[in-house]
Amino acid sequence: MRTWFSYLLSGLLLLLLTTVCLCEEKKIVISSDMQADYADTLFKNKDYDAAIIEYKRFVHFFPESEHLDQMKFKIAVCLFEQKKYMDAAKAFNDIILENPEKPDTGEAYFYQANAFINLGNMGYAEIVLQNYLKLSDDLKTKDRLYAELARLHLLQARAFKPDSLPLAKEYLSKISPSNTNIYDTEKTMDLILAAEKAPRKNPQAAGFFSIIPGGGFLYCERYQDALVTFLLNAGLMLAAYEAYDKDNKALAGVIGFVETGFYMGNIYGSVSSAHKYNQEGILRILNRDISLAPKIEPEGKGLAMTLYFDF
Amino acid sequence: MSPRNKALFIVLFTVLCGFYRPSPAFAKNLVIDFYQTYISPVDGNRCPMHPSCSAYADEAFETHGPVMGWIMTCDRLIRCGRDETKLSPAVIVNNQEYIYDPVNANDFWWFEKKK
Repeated sequence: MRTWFSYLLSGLLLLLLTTVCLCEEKKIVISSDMQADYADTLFKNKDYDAAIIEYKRFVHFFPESEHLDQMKFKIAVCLFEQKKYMDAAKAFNDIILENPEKPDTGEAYFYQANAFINLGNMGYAEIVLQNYLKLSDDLKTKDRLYAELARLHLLQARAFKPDSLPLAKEYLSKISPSNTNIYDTEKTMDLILAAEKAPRKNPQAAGFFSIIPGGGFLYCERYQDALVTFLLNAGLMLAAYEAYDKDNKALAGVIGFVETGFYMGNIYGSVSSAHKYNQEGILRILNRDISLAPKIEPEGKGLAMTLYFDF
Repeated sequence: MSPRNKALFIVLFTVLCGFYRPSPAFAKNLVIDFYQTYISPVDGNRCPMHPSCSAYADEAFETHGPVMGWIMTCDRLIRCGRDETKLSPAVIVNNQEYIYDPVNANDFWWFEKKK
């Protein structure tokens, strides 16, 4: 009986020890590299929500890691890729303020500027790029900044901001000769020159010609609009005159009110048409192929430029 | 003032009051609201532009107030469906093709929306 009990006890002890050993084997210790690799895999798979969580986990559990700043940068990039541009701009701003000397900070400037461009806030984007231009001494970085500033002004030219084309030209001309091929400066410069030479209509002249209803539209080559404007205004003027002539002053007043609107609308439309004509001319050329579209490399492998051809 | 002229004056006054809005958030423009609620459903949507002329007018009044709103509305009514169809881009709304001509395509040269 005693032998049987001792066997049982030994067996139980052995089982307990084996279980403990097995448990020891199953225990996984996640190192900072493993965590970073997993987060990077999620990032590469474009699962940005999960990637942000994993990068944040890294920041929380490995606050002493030398890759901490890189992780914060990647969180900001994830936000950018998710098109959460305002959050991304804030995150990049924190990176810029925290680590002015780190290599990722340079990219953060470009990303922040692009976030502002995507938000439609070209003014802030330009400030960010100009700030970095003041801080930077490296020729390559400066050239990249000039190319970005030129691209920014070309975008503004599309949005009809005055003086954008000369500014874009100025920044392109500042790119050093050794890097002109990278940014396809010559081709873009030719496009800008072509855009500047695009046929134009003078808005003031259009406004002046529209003193005769439809004249402004005629000047802007909008012949149907010109005819309709002329007939409509002439008809309303005649109707107002007839009503007044027949002592129907209130009716004349009503028609006069309506006619004033259409007459002013004719002037407004003519000036607007001239501006639209000019914008159309610039857009037709600039949309043909804008080559200054930088591709940002999140991996920090370098700069790439993409060419877009719209047919 | 004869009764007929009085009546016309009242009509004119009502129309003018309809166009006036003390603040953009005050209310929908009365004339446009009346048109969109009672006339347009019966008349049918025949405007080839997007937004339609009444929606354009509503936006113009809201953005630029009664004077510029009225002028821009008249300008749009003049341009509706003619040369603009050759110049502005097309847009598909509810499986139907329209000519895209929003307010900001016509005020971009003098008005910048605050961001």
